[in-house]
Amino acid sequence: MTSRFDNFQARRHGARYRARGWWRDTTILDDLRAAAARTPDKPAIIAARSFARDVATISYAQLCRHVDRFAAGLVELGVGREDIVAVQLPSWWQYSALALACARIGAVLAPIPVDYRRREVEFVLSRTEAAVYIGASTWLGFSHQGMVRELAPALPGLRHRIHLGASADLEGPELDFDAFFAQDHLRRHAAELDRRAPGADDVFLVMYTSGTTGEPKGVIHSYNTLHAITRAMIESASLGADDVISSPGAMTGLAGFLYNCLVPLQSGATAAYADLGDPDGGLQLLAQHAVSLLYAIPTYVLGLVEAQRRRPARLPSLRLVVTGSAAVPPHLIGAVQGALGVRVLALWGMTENGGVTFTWPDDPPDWPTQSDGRPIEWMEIQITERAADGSGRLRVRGANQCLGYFKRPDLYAAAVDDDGWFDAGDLVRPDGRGGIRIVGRLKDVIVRNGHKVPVVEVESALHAHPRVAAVALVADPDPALGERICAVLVARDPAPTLSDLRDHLRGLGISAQYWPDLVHVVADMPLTATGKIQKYVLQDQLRALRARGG
Amino acid sequence: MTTSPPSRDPARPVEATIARHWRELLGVDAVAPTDHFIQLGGDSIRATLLANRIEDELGVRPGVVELFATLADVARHCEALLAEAAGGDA
Repeated sequence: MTSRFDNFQARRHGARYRARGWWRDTTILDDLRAAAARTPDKPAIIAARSFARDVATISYAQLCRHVDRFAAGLVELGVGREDIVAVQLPSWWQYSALALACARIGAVLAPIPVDYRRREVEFVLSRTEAAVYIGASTWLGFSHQGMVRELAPALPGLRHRIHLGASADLEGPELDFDAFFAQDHLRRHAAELDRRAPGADDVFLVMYTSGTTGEPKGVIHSYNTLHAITRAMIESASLGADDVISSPGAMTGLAGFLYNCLVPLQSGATAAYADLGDPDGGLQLLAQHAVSLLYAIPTYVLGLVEAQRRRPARLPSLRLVVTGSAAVPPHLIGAVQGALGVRVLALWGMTENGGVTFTWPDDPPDWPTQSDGRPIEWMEIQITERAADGSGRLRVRGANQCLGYFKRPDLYAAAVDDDGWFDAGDLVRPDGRGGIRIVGRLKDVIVRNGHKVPVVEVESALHAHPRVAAVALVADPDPALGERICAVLVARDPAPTLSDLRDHLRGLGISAQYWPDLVHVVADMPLTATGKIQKYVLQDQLRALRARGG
Repeated sequence: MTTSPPSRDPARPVEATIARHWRELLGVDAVAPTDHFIQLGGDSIRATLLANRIEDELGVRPGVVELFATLADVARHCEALLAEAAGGDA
């Protein structure tokens, strides 16, 4: 059978990775079935909805039935093997069940973050040629149903739009999620489900991640690459069936999907998550559902510490906080120890490879403030182009590594060499214990609240504003968001205000998480000899301004 | 985007206080009672920070969920919490 995906990793390394036990011949569906056979009544998912103020508890046996029900519905819609299903839902239990329903029939999940707006959603839907879009009707006051309704005429491949919470207001081919999946599609398609079961080297996920230059990249993962990543997270934190695992990260992102879905399932544990991802609600979730392991970005962990100081909750079950995606501030370790009574482990990874390096329980407790960890057994790291102090460019390879970028093999080829080393784009130095410390970035990146900002895309959108003559986005350190987005402008009179710029970006359909947080007007841009804006000079200017309290 | 006048009604001190925190947290120049937290770029992290600031300044703490609303609605909610804290029949 021909495939729309090229699994170079499996052809070249599959036999060796299997021989070492890093890859396998089963999928996450087999983990689900095994857990359901062992502990049918145990909660697989505890999912809290912040606005509806309710909690859904789904047992392993129930989850199996929902997965079959959703899978049969997808078959009814004509979804075939390797067809892409786009899902833009908050972290509700249906997200996990839909992801597994895709896995049940060999369809490919393409998550879209809920805060993505017209421009980003259109890009993902048109690039993936998704036949099915499943989204909330509305979320946080925004109508996804209306947005996709507007986009649909330009997306001929999009045959079905299914909205959760939509029953009253359906138009044309739109379907109500609950009504559609409540139909007995299983009666007709039950036999079809097993026939379509994917192999372990088939593709499970195409996850779009903000490009730093130009368009977002669709990172392709197979069941096996995700298995290796999941196992790395399980082993680094010694997780087992007795754990209750939680992350405030959205399940449309890799960390949220791993810690709220794949990691708990593969361990036969319980996932506990909420749809808003605020520290107050998170603290309640930890206390009420006896969460034992939390994964969150450092700024969230500090928010949780603050919430606990204001309104202490009893957390006898919590045993570990894992953090990643940004440097761990030195005071975080002590703050977590003091307020939550547990230690912190850190990891480093990307959407392309999940978790590569981890700090370990046998490291000193404050080690995450000095190190991003040592690699898991099945990932190799290399520091190249070393400077005198030992720092250099980080490259990685191994069983976690993705299969490529969907429909952009050229972009992926540019990041990987002939021996499979993937250039992570980070500047690192050895940590002295066999691991690495990230010391800087080689790419033009802003990471705001754990999300990479597509710097070039936002800059070109801002440049289209009639009173912007030149623009550069630079990172501005911020305790709450990690980094804020500062738009440095050369403006035509009168200079646009921050509100003007945001209105402009909203009008272009760019999601709010990419809007500038502050604006700084300059007379002219510092340029290199070749005419490129020198962002480090702008960053120094901003730092000087801040130091003067400006 | 917004045509209604900025909130500086001296008769609504709670609204004025919250408007100040919105301006600081959301980085906007002016806010009107009809402006919605999300429309100005608010998210769950900022909602939590806003709840912390309101608690520190007014002594009552709105739920994070209640902050995903218009400025006028958030102010009314906080006024109700203050009335409740003052004895329930204020």
